[in-house]
Amino acid sequence: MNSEDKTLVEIIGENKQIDLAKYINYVSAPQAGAITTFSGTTRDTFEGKTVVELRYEAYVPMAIRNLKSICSSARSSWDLHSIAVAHRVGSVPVGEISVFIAVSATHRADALDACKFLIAELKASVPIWKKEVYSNGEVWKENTEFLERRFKHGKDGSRCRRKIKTEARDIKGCCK
Amino acid sequence: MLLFPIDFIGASSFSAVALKEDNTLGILHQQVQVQFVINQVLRPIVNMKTKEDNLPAVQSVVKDGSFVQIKVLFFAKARDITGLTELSMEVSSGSTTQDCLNKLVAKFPNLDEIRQCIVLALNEEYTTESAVVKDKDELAIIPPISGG
Repeated sequence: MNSEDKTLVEIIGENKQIDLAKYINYVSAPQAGAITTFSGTTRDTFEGKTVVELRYEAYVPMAIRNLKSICSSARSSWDLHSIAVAHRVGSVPVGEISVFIAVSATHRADALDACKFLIAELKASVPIWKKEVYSNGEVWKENTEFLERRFKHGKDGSRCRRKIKTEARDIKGCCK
Repeated sequence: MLLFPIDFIGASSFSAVALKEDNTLGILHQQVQVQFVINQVLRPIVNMKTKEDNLPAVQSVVKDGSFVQIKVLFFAKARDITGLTELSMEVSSGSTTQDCLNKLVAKFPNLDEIRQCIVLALNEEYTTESAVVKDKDELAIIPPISGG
């Protein structure tokens, strides 16, 4: 690995907003012609229900380890300069950012593709959970990316009670 | 009748609490010879055999490696079900993560609701149900994730 590779992974504690400028500054470099960022924000509705807030929790040491591993994978596929990933835990009200990714590269194709890969991988395998809180209840969410990927984590898919229909993108969760 | 001596008055009389056959208590004052007291009351007490020699040998508890201790972490729905964020568990040496999970479901039957959905992590890495746990391992119960 290039000794100049810069990767920053942080889990942000409760009630603290993500400092976007910090991470953009981190990945900025004279040789990087492109910086791509992704912000995941809490939206106000889900399937017609009004969302009050999202509440996140994480298996922090494993999440950090996992994210660093995903960043390494991205580097092996694209020519990147720096990567920064930050994810909040605790309550994230509507409109606020829960996850932020910044990637820099010499050329924009690498930066754009790597950024897309990083968020997809995060949603498929990093041990972070969110609970969607409505005015009349709350439910633990399940990422479809994870459900599709479960077989790779050592589970025998045939034992899952609910069928996963990937063609129709109609993926039913197991724990609901 | 049982006598419980409470006072010796001089050499020739004594007072005692008497437990009579009908289980009533009485106070007995007797003008008796000292020898009676020695023979009938004190000697039997002194001659009571101590049982220390008959105690079985204390078995020392030696860890002979047949059990291992692991830490189990519960997240999200799994924590809601068990009410715990973590617990310490002893399992026999050579147990797999599946054996550990079986033991957890036996202890928290409602975990069975999510058993088909969860994945396991051993020492911060995803693992299979056939992996063998070692002493001081950390096993995490991971319901479907939803980061991002």
